[in-house]
Amino acid sequence: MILEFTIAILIGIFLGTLTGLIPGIHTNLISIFIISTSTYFLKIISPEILVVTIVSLAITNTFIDFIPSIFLGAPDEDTALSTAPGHEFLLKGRGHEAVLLTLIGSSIAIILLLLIFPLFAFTIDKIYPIISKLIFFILILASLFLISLEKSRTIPTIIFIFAGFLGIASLNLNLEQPLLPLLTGLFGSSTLIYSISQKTNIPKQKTDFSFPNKNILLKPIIATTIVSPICSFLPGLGSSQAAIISSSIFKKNQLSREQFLILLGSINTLVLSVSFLSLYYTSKIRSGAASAINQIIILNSSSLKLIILAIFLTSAISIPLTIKFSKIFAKNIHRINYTKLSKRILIFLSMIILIFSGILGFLVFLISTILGLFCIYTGCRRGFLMGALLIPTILFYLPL
Amino acid sequence: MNKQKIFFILSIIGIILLLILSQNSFEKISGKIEKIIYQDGAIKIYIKNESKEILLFTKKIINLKENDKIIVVGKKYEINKIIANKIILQNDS
Repeated sequence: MILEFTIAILIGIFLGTLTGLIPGIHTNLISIFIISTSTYFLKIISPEILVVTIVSLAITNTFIDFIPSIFLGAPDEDTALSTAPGHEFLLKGRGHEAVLLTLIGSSIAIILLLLIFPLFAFTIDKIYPIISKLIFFILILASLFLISLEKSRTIPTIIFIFAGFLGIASLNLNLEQPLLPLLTGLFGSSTLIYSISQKTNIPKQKTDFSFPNKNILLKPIIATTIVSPICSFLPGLGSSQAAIISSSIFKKNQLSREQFLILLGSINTLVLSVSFLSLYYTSKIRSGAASAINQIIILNSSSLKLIILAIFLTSAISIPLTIKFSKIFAKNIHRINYTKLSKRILIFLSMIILIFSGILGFLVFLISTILGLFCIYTGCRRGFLMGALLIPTILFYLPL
Repeated sequence: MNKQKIFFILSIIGIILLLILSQNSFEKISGKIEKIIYQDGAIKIYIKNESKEILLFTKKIINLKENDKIIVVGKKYEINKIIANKIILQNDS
């Protein structure tokens, strides 16, 4: 059993590294593949071992997936908000630092999971009905708060509403992977096209890093602890919505770029980890990985313990692995012609979208890119493009 | 015309186009009902030999039973769910 468990973890880490490093390949795709071939695997291994592989894959992905987002400007749905601050760090030769900040966040999330686990187990039944009634108002308040922070509110409001309509349309188009073209266009390709038009040169990246002091860590920790568990058990809310709600907890300019990247890392990992607890305690599916697990076994207390153990072991291996890959990117990115690389990534992303989301998905990708470019050229903060997810979520929770 | 204006106009045209397309985009599946589950103010319908789960958001009891042949028209939701807009009963009797 120990050998099977270890092999499962290692396979999960390998697959999670692949999905994390290759832009556009989401863990859900691999999970669907594992489910569709599970009848074959279950003849050889126990369902619990297959579950460990999925958990390990998904957790590794939350550590690694910031690397393409920050170095290549090619995000997925969970890392989209890191593209803009990550790109700024990259242009200052601090791309590796940006990845390590998200890594610190992910590591904090694993420690927070220990604290949240007992709290979640005892309070979930009581809190769930209250929060699900309040979430509509929380999301509206968070959106209004974000817009109110801006000096000029007209352009941010227009972009937020446009993104909302774009999100509503995209989510109603019956696409296979609607978020892939939507978020890649809004945050990824628009940044790449802008970089190409500016003939951006990437400076030599620093690989030294000093650990941030505890004052910097405090705010992301508070925000993650409050918001992630809520977003983990409510439908329609993911890491990005959690990050927007979290950043609105603090007053204007109180969350620095460094803190925002730590926040994104911690939320990304914690939202996923808590989705496994959510599956066990409430039978509610809140992530692709949890959905895959639900199709393999009915979780009991011993399989939950195995999942928790898998989360910790995977994290222990994923941390040095992420540092290693980030260093490889940091040492080589300045040697590459970034304009040429951006063009190739743009072609690659277009092909991925055509394959997974079809012609309609490609149309969504084009229009999302245009809106993303409008946001960049007006100098508006890219966070407002998250209206594409926030407005459909607000409508989902609209009390009727 | 500057870039801001061009992207602004193109965004409006593109979003309107997608909104129009989304109004005419439906998923349609048919088959015999395997089971019906009433849960959390929603009804889940499972169709035989169909991996997709059908969701119907209503608190009412629906006039459908196992083995009824139905056609479901709705919107895709998450990985393998369809939110039903219309369910047509096709029983021969």
